[in-house]
Amino acid sequence: MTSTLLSPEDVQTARERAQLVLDGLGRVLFGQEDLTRMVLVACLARGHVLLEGLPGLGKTELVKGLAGLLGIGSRRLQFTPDLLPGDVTGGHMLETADDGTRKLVFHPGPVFTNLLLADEINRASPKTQSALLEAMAERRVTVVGETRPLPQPFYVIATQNPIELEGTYPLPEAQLDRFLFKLDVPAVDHTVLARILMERRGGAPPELDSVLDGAGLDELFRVVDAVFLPEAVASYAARLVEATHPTSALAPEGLAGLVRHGASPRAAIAIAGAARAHALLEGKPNVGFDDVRAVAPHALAHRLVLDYRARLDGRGGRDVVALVLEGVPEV
Amino acid sequence: MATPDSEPASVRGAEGPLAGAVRGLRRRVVLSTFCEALMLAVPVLLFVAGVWILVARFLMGQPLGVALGGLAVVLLALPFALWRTWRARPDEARLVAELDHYSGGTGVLVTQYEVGDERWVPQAVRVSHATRLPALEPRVGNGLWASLVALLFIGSSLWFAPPAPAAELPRVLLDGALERLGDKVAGLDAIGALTPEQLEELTERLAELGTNLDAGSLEQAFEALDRFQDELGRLGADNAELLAGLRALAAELGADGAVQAELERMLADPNTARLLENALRELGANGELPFDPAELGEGLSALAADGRLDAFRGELSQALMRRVGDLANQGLVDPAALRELLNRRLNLAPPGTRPPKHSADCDVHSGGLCNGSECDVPGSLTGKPGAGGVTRGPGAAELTLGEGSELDAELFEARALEGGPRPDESALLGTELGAPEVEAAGEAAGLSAFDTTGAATGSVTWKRRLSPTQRDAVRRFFNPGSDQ
Repeated sequence: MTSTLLSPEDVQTARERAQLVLDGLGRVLFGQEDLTRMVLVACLARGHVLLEGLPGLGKTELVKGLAGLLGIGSRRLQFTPDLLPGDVTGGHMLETADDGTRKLVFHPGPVFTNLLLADEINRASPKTQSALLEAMAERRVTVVGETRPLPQPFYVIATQNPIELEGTYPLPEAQLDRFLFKLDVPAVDHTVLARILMERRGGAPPELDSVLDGAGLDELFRVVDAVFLPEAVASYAARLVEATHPTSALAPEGLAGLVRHGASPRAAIAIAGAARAHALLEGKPNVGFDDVRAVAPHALAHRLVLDYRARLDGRGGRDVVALVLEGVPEV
Repeated sequence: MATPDSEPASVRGAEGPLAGAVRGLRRRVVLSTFCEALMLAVPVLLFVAGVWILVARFLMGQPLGVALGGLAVVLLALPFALWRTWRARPDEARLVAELDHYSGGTGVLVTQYEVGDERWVPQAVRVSHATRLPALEPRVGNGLWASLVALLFIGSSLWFAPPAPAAELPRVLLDGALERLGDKVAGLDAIGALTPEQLEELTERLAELGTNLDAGSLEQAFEALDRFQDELGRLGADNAELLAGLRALAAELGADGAVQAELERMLADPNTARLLENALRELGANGELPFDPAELGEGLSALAADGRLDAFRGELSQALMRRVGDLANQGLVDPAALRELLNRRLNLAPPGTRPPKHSADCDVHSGGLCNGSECDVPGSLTGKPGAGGVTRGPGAAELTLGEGSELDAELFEARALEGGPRPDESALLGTELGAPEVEAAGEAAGLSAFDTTGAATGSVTWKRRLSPTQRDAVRRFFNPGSDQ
């Protein structure tokens, strides 16, 4: 075996840098440590995140804070029903040069950034939503036959509102599959609210200084990629994904009536990548079973196509993933 | 960063810092697997031993010690458990993964096992030492319960005693039975219930039974004696019934005390009595004559020749004829046989008795016997068809018994059936003036293409398809200008 383990120093350094980001996010959002941790895990795994929560919970501020802490560019795009694909990707415009000649000049859209906040993504039409497919999967944009790469790193952090569903367009499965995580933004309790009232003036978050730059972020990516994934843990992650298929022999009892289609191989890849980042945040040079268990619900729940019986029973994707985690042994 | 290949081998695999923990877990897993396998085999083998004890004690009659030897089969559970444990022994990677699982699933141990990095050994050792394995809980509950049930089964098989073996029949009982059978045969012979042939056969069989008593087993001899006794019982019952019926018949026939006495005397002769009784009984019971009528006649003749019927000749004759008349009226007897009986009756008739004559007007209700001078024989007994009695036919036609009826011959005269429609091979199928269109498929028919029967109409009639050569010839005939 030619696999390598990170040195304790490398792990410690990377963990400290990541901890700086976490601390900064903690100053932006109070009482949402789990959420900010998973957002950072997704960023370290270079994955896109779909945030779902009620208005006013700080989703937008979280994205802004993350962009500021990472020292990368960010743009915010409010998705509306009349938003067109060209409004996302950009397009050619007829311009007059200084010499009086006219020509079509490509004007990049808001997608040409490092961190794109797609606010209320489910309010745009499927046509506009699909404009993000290529950008999210291949980190490039093709307009009128011309393909342009997106800046690295490139993240899409989308938000959507679980209520006010009138006039919305649920994301198609293909688009959902491209999000590494779908994170629920929970409400905060009164102690957190009291802290917000005490420390915020007008609800504005504090000004944050970036704790990382491009080089530091690249180094973090390299360390994440070097986190070792043991064979036994990889087998566990693979069995988890297979167990989400109702026809699988590994599927736990009762899952067949809840799931119509299981998770794709992309889900297994997402679990492995996210588990690496999660292990690094835990200060480990390797992925463990606990890392897989920690990231699996966020990586699997939104990729399952549930059966109507699950909806009738009021059971969501996270309930199914919990069933799978309970039914599939680690060893 | 360092590659594991550059590390000492001692930090990799189960021989490294994890060796002790892996060995401990292996012992636990092996012990658990062994216990489970043992408790899987023991109940089954206990049941097998219990069945053996039952069979040995109750069916094979083996002593208790031999039956209890079946418990030795339970020892087979030990090699079975060892074999199963060997088959299910876990490999080191799985053991390390189990250790990692019980250490919180951090992956440190499996990583150390797979990669081996000296820099992370302290952490692996720390995790390994902090691992708390769960208590050993082999799944033997079902096996224990099943073993308990099997032990109860064995206990019950030992609790009940097998039935005692059947005692042998003493020889003296069989000898006594044989002697009683001989007495029974003699008794039947004494009352005339046996013919000489039957007596001889039974005597031979008695001797054979005595021989078998000395040669064969007692049980078989007893069964043979039992069967023989049953046969004698049936024979005696038959003969007793026969004699009782005969006496009843004698009482019916006997008009006075003299006749009764004479019959009683006649019945003292078994052969004569049986002959007479059988004839009359069969005549009345079955309505047919299963015997040769000459037998009855011979028997009666023998009685008459000995003068034993002189005293009641008239009464016996009357009784016989009344019986025969009843049967004739019922249409149950063959007239020919009755005629033969009557002939015998004539021989029995006392001197001076007028022979019977045929008359179709006989009073059949009185048995066809005329006390006056008109007739003694019913017309049905004369064999003349259509005159009444059993030969009365359904119509006016005379019946010819034994042969075909004449009327039937007239009504159902045999005639040859008409034949079915025959196809007219010269039938006209079609008429046309031009050259016929023929199909090559019909060439195989090999039949003539022309039908000359239509020549009188001035046209050519076709009824068969043409072969290619004939087709060309016909075409040239109708189209002389054509070369084809």
